[in-house]
Amino acid sequence: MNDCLSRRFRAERRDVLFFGPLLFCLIVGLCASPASAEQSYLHELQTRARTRGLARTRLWQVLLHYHRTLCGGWRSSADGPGFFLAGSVGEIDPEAELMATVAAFAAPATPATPDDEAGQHAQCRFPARWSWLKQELAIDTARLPEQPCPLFSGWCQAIAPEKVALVFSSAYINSPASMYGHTFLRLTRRTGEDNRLIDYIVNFAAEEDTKSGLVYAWKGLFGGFAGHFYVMPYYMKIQEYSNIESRDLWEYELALGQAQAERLVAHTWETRSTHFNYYFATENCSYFLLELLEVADPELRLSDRFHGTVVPVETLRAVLAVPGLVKARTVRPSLRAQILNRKSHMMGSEIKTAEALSKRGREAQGLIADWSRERQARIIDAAYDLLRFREGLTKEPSPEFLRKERELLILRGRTGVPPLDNDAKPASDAPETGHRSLRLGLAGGMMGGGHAVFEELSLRVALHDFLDPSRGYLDDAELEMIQLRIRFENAARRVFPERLDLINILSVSGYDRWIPKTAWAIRVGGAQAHNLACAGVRCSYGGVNMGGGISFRLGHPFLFFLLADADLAGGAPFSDHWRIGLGGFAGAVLRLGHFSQTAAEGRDIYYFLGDRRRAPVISVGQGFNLGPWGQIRLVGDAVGSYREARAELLGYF
Amino acid sequence: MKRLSLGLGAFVLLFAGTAHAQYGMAGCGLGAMAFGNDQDTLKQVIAAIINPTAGQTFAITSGTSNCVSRGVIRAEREQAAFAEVNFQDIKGNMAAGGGEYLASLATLLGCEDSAKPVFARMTQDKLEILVPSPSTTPIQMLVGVKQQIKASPALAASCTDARAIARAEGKPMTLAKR
Repeated sequence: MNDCLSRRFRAERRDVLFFGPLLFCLIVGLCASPASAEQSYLHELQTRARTRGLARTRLWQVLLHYHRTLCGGWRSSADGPGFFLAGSVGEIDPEAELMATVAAFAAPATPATPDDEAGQHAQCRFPARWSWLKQELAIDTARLPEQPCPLFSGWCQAIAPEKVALVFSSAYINSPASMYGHTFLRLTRRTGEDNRLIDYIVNFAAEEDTKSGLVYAWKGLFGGFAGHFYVMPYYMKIQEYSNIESRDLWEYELALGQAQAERLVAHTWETRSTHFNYYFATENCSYFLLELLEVADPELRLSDRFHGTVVPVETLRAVLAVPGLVKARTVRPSLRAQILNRKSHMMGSEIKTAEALSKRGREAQGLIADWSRERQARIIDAAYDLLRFREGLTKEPSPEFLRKERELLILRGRTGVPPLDNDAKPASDAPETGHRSLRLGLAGGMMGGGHAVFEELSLRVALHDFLDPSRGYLDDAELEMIQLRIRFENAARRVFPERLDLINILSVSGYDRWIPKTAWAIRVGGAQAHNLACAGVRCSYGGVNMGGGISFRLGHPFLFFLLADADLAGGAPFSDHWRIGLGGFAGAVLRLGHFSQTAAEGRDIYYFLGDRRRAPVISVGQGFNLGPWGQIRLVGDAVGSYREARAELLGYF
Repeated sequence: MKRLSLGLGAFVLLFAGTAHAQYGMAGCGLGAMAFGNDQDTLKQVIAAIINPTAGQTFAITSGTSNCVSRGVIRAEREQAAFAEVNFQDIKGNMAAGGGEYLASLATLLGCEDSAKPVFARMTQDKLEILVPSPSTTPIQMLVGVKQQIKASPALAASCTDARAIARAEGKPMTLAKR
């Protein structure tokens, strides 16, 4: 309500401010004075802007990031004051901001020092607004002079935007928290499509000013970080994501023309005067890119589709859902994918030879001396990538690395063989082919010796488990945030929370001798201690599990994992109300095409403190995919002597 | 090749650069962005850029401001910055006689597309000269590449500073063919 009140109040005040001088001017008759010729042209422009209703046009709204408030007013998502020429009123009053902008554009030139960005003329700080208003109001630059803007022109000229592509960075292997992905925009430079590396990108990111994890989480959740648009060469992001973090980059070329790309860049410049409060879950990197795309093409309605959490892949889907907006898709497989692909084309002896070359450099060249040049080149390429992946992607590569690196390069150069194709595949199908993030479910089942019947409602905010349709997701990680299952027991007429996962991560990147990774797991949440002969809310407990271990593949569809596991739990059902134990956690996953996933898991913990009763857990599940939108799932669980079986119908939204 | 020395001016620039750090990109420390803060590489790039012994015509322009401005690399520093950040990839492409990094480097050096295969072949043939030791720096490599371009009549004609400058000014490459 405050918004509405303050808006009305300010609107009235603005009217007084605006009409007051006009009235005064009319009465006193000063308007005829030549000194105010500029002033009268300004008033003419302001009146024109007002009568044409420019403040209500979509472009003005997207340029200022205005959104409707709950009570019908406007509020900008920009949070820094420098963005509003009308002062703080500008944040909630599009028309006041428009009037102030026109006035600021008409202000006399100020002598600004070359690098003083904030001291520049408003036309130079807000080039997208200027360019639009100049056209909409048919501004006569003889009466309202156009200011030279060397800082902006030089900047924009270097970026030389021609087209725009949305880039989606897939998950970071072995780091399921990155499973949400990340998005940024690539601005095709006028150097041609073959030089994507030297294109510029626009990335929205938070200025992270803390090293404390807790402060970080707090600020991230409640908007404590200031977010900015950052411009940098694409090759920087490729080094970071593709090479160091092993993430595939998916590029979606957008049907935006040069004028639109230029407005996008000009507006990015405008945001340098402000910041946007950064919220991990809602107003995040992906969300603000949508607002930027709306500036490029105001007809797009992208940001309004998101009212709650914004998952990067969902923003990609929103973009793909606009007919004709995405013209083409390409993928840039990570360095890791390229290495694994090279290895997959090699025989056992060749793999060993490549390892020897990457370990010993030139000393091992005798191993390939008799081979054909083409084969030598293939092995050395693999050895070089492996060496680099293991030792080279660090801040300061060791002298040992540099020596071996040069030796391998010289060996490769001497073969004289031209570049060999590397048809590396990304680690997953395109992200948009995956199931949606939000999952809702209905289930029915039987439990205990008496075959008591129950029904369940389930909700999961995000994102993926091993039984979900595997397409479009990394196949070696689970990441679940906020999963709740509510159960109703028919006979006992009892409703209670069956399970709550605040967070559940299982990362089991298959062990590869070239890229060895450890497996790890963490779960924070609550469940029912059915095995302790209790039921209902009184049977609930909460706890934390953490584990580490190894995983490996047998062919592509089979994945096995074995982890040591620590368990800490507290709740009414336990004697002493708590238990601590150590044990093991093992599982297997089998995927058959895009149709079926099967998983089995077992966990046995030896509890040595608190309630020491053993409760080995076995869970077997089978998911049949109906498509990316739904699944039928059968699950059997055993905890100690307790048994249950259920059938679930799941939908992804 | 003459070893690049680090002048006093470089230190001045170094500190000016970090003081003007924009958007988390301290000076020329592009490598820093990817690999953490590495002042040595920062010094190297700046030193090489202003060092006249490098014998570059295009890359040398006097200047006291840092090479990254609001996320955009100043045109005359772009070759150096690209070589610095992508050093390993470029060397790998040179040894293999081609690749995306080498192609983009050629673009930054003002080469016509038609000259890129010749350019790639040259870097493979001359690799031992371009990377004379394990401690060869990106800038040393870059300087070597430019010398080789000059020494090759075919490349000298099709990889020109004029084209590189036109590109840096945002003009399409095709317009700069003359």
